[in-house]
Amino acid sequence: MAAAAKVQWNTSIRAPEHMAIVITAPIMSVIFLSIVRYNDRDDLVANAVIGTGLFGIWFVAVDVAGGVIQNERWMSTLDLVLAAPRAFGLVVCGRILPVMLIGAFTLLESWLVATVGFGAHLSVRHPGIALAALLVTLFATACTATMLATFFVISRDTTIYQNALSYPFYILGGVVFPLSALPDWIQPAGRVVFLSWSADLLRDSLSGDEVQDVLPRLGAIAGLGALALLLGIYLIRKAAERARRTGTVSLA
Amino acid sequence: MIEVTGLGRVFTKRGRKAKRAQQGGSAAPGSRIVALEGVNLSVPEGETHGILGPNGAGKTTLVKILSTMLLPTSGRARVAGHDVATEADRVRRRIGIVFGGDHGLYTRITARQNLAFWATMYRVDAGVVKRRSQELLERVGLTDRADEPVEGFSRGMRQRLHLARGLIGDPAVLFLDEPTMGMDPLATRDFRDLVHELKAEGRTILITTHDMAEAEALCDRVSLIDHGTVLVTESTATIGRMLSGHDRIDITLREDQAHLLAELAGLSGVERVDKLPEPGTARIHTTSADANPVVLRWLLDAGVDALRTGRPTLEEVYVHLVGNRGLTV
Repeated sequence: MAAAAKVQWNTSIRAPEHMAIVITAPIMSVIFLSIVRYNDRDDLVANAVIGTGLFGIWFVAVDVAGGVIQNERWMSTLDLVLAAPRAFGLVVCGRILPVMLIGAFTLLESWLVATVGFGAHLSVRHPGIALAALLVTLFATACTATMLATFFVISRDTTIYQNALSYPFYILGGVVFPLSALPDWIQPAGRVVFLSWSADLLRDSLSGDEVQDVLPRLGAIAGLGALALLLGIYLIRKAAERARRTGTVSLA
Repeated sequence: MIEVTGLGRVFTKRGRKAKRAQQGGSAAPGSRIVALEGVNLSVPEGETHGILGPNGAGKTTLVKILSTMLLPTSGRARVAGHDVATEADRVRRRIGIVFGGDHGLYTRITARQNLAFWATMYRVDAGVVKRRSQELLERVGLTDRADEPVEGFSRGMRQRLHLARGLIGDPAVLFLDEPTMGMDPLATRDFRDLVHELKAEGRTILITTHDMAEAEALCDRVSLIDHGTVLVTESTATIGRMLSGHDRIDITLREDQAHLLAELAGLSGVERVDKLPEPGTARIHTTSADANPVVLRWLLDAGVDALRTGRPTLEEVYVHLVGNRGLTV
């Protein structure tokens, strides 16, 4: 995993396209914050900031998960990686992890847009909890994106899945609007999406109230992430076996 | 080291149309593509074996099956004592794979970083990675460029890095798929020297190529493959003899000896006489090896002193067996 992370880091620092979210995230922040300001709801500024940050983190993860597979196909390295002794799932997860830093950077950007651009006053009342929630969220994001990479191994056109897989997670993850704002019947589905736990905990860490059940909530994020990673490794293995059977690994 | 028995691979086109045709028993031509059929092959330890064939003959499919990238649809294959279909993980620890061409490397990172990554993928001990990467970089002559991104490398340099990558796991069996494709003559020569070194180390090497000179230069034995079946497996020398079972004689005639061509064609022991492009030159094909001394004596008696005997090249054998179909696949 560490070796894969090094490859991705060294690739990303030479690939401007991997930094695209750094440009789009502030624009999204402006949109969300303008809506909040227009409706005179400064109490939702934190939602907009955290929402944009989580949006960026998830976007980068899915983009890289799909991009990794697509690039491996184009460079004809996918065959070779799948035929190597190490589990490919770990490679994918390792490659997603370092770009999480880019995703986390969007949270900072969003914060700056809110405070400098919109003059909002935001303070983190529970910095320890916020940091822990962010780190566990980054881990869970990389793990969950690894699971989604299964679709990218099977499909030769990853773009369709990249788009299709993003929006359900934004909605069910309560990224912009709290899960409680969704219809009752859909809320249970949101509870199995780690982002909903992350968004709630991050929002709570900004408020002045005492944060309840910190460890169980962190555990829920980490647990859902770990479960996704295990499932991802298993599913990617199955997808690779299927590709071996059908001969659909490479483009040639 | 490599045992292949009745190996076959059929590709089925995807899509509803193809599926309906197959289910209805009216599979349209082309919905099933037979890439390999009934392939038998045995490569002992330490042998360099060539798989020769035109484009689309099934060479790469065979390598992909043997290197666990693809499953066969019939037959069996064992590499380093393990079944490629059911013991893929064990096979993967014993093999190295080198593809020809530009692809198969991470171009935005350096040669050294590429090797470090692949070393981890092949479970090389962390303490060994640095040393082995350096040794391999020295071996393939890339030490000076080791810390530069691969995207700036020439085709020859990339191919040498490919070879280093294939060797990072210290494999017992090495698969080289069209390894010198697109390389210039000097780079090709250097690459072949490296393969000779690997051969001297006792590694088993399976090399696919459509380059006759490459097979002759590198291989102990070759298998000619076409339309997914092995036509023949023999030593390069034996295959050369198979074409006609005899040497051929190239002659250069003076102007006043031109009439000899007609006489030669009617001579006992001469199968045919082909004019060569150079003026006054011709190639004599004899009916048997025993006929050669007789024909040579006749030529000398007739005053022909510019002559040369030689064996058919592998290319001639290849064209003879596969058919002179040019680029048709």
